[in-house]
Amino acid sequence: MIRYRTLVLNDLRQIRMDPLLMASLLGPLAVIAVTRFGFIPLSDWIERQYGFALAPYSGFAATFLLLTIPLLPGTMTGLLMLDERDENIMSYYSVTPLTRRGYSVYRLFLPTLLSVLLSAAFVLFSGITESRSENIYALTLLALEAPCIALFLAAFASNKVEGLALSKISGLLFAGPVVAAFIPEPWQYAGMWIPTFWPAKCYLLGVNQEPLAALGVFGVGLIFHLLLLTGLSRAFLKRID
Amino acid sequence: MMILNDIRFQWRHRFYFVYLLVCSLYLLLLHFIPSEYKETVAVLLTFSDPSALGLIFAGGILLLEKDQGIQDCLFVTPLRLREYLLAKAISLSLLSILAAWMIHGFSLGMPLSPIRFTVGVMLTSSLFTLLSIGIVVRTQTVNGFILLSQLFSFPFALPLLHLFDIGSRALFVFFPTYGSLLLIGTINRPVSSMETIYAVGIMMIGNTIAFLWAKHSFQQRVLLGITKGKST
Repeated sequence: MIRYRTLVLNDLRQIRMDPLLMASLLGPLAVIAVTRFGFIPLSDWIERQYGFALAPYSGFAATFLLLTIPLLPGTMTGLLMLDERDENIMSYYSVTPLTRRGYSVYRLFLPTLLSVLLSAAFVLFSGITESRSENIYALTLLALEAPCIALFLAAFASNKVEGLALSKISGLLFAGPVVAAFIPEPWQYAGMWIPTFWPAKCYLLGVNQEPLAALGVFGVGLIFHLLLLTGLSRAFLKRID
Repeated sequence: MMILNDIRFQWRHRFYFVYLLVCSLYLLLLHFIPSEYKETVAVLLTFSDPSALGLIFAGGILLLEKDQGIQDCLFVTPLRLREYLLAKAISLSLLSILAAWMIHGFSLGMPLSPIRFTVGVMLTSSLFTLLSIGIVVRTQTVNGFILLSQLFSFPFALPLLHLFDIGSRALFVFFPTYGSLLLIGTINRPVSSMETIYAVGIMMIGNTIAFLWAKHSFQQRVLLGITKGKST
């Protein structure tokens, strides 16, 4: 743990200097608060104004909003890693006892932890989710999304400009819940290459009271996410070699 | 020449490839939107993404140029700051126009008024690019820039409320982005000559103010810094 002390101290200073690290904590909290207090009034307003009822789609809305939680710390961490690479800070860490691998683990730990805690807070406090044991499947897969997003940016972008460009592609992740909620089976399995399809599908199966199917989808989704994480870690370490 | 260099830079850094993917995603999304809402969603998408892409990208480009020390040597050449800023605005506008046309061409077909639509996208893009340049010189890190850009650009998004019939028109007429929405809205709604003159006029005023602000900010925070660095 001692080898991480310098990084922790540096990051605590950074939080004061770089408010966006703070935003990756406050942003998801704002999503939870807005959903809690705004979803029902908004739903009523849309129904009055456009005659469109949002309530039957609350399961889809929950998966869609849940996805924003790992997306924010994941993207922020990816951009921070690119910033540190552009400024050669990463090379400095690689020759310290921390090593490159230690640096990666440390950097990815915070967004994963934030995703776990804040996604759980969303399920508990947003007011649009059902408390079911199957939710744990979706939360586990969502927690793996944040390091995947960060590693995707850090592995495939040559610098921060490319990182910003590639972060646009993260928008593709919003297609996962759309496919899981609106495309009929079996055609929706064409979207299984989108990582966010799996947590969305787990959650929706839980809501539809299909626990066995949810467990099966979670198993496949977990293998998919672990393979993705391993592949992205290898690509990232190769990149900084 | 500077414009061509900027386009090459954007091509090399995969901006065009990324927008091909992003546009494909939007096309997929529009495919699933019921036809009665499709045009409103298309206006919303065009305004918030292809038209405003300069807000994020221009800042990112400047941060990278700063890291690579490009700005230190760029301004010892005959290149003027005015040309540098305009090249950024024009080159990113071109990408915005291509992306906006791709989304509309493949989802809704030809806009009712193609010229007004193109001018709307172009002037919105240059406005956000210049705004981004004024913002990025006030930050040190990419994350700090993103946060500040969201804060600065928030007021420019307020006219979107009118798109959803919230608030009266009089509240928004002094926002340049209200002019953007009028011109981008010509995909499905005819706009009178007076409205076009108003929209282009308010956007030109917005662009001029953003240009002067970006130029002043760049002079004060970058060029003056470079000169001071040299004299010490």
